[in-house]
Amino acid sequence: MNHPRDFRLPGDDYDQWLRLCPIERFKSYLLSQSLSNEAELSRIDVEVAAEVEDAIQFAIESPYPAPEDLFADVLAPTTAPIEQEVGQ
Amino acid sequence: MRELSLRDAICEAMRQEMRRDPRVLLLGEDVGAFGGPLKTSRGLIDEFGSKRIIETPICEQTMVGMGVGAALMGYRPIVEVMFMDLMSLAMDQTVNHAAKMRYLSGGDVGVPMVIRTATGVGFGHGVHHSQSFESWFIHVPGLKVVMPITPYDAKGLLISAIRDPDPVLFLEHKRLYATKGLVPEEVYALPLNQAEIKREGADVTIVAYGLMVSSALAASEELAQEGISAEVIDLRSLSPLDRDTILGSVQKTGKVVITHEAWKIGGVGAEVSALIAEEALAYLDAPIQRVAAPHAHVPYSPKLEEVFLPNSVGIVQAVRAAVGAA
Repeated sequence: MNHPRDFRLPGDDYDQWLRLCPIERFKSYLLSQSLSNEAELSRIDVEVAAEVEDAIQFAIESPYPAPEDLFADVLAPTTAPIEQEVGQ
Repeated sequence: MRELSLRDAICEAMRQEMRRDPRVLLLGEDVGAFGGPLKTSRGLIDEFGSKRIIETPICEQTMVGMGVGAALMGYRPIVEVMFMDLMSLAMDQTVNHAAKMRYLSGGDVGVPMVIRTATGVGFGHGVHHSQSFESWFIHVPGLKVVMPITPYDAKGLLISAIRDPDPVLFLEHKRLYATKGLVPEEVYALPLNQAEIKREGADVTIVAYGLMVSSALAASEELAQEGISAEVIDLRSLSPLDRDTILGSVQKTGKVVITHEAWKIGGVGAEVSALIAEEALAYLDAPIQRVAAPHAHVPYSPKLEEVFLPNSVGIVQAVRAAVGAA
């Protein structure tokens, strides 16, 4: 009961929806329209996997954030005053 | 009396009310065979079937809208919205329809619906699954908001919420689902508008709700060692607020610390603070103190999550400040 196949879409429905996977369909479209090719799509897959792997390693090797990091990036840094627009 | 977890007390309340009243329905994501995303509806599909335990798509606006429609047609729907963060997607149906239908119909029809949703910082769920938005809803007339923290309160308040003629937002804290406590097997209903004094005290009132009640009780133990007697109030109902219990305690102690897990700015504590300032200022011996979340997003990092979450240390410091200022 831990796989969606078991409780969401019993029977053939699950496999039917898998065949409608939008990523797979987009890939088919790109190939059928000659907008890309298998070699290029494979290269993108490899690049993305490497980027994710690098990010995971970076996270593992980084120290935990400091308490003051709680407030980082909530708003843009306010270094310079916003220029006032002068009306007519 | 047997012990139940808060999770199972919620399930029992729904089961007993569904047995009693065929109009009661449960709608939500994976509430059927999976037993609910947070395992609060285990076994209900087997007893009540898919016409009363209704699986919905991932679309909160539609889920609450289905609940509004079912309620208008005479049903008593319980809509489970997995996390309170996702209530942002259901605001129109909740605020502009469920809350206003009685008023707009000149009192002809109401929306006897319960929206159950899980709130709060949990287990490193990150920015989109950890928030506490209860102050959005206490701001709106036509809604009731309750947040039980014990299995006993959860069962009694959920039964009342299901029977209530108006929409009730029923908040369940993620970290409390496994909490165990004594729960009667029989059906009972608790009033939706009453706070509970969890600990009597004479020197300071700590007003809390949700996860912060246990922190307030831990703080009061520590303060007792210092000879400070703290009274701890669990609000239980956030809308309406139990004015009598809050003001009565403040009149007795003259010092107040308000604590919650939600952001301090614009939080429920701001309303409680204003209520005390308006109604009991003459009784105050010291400025009101609030212990709540900093104005930052709930961080994903477990280390930072603990920094974000208010705790008993902060409550103890606030009480010392209040008592010292008196």
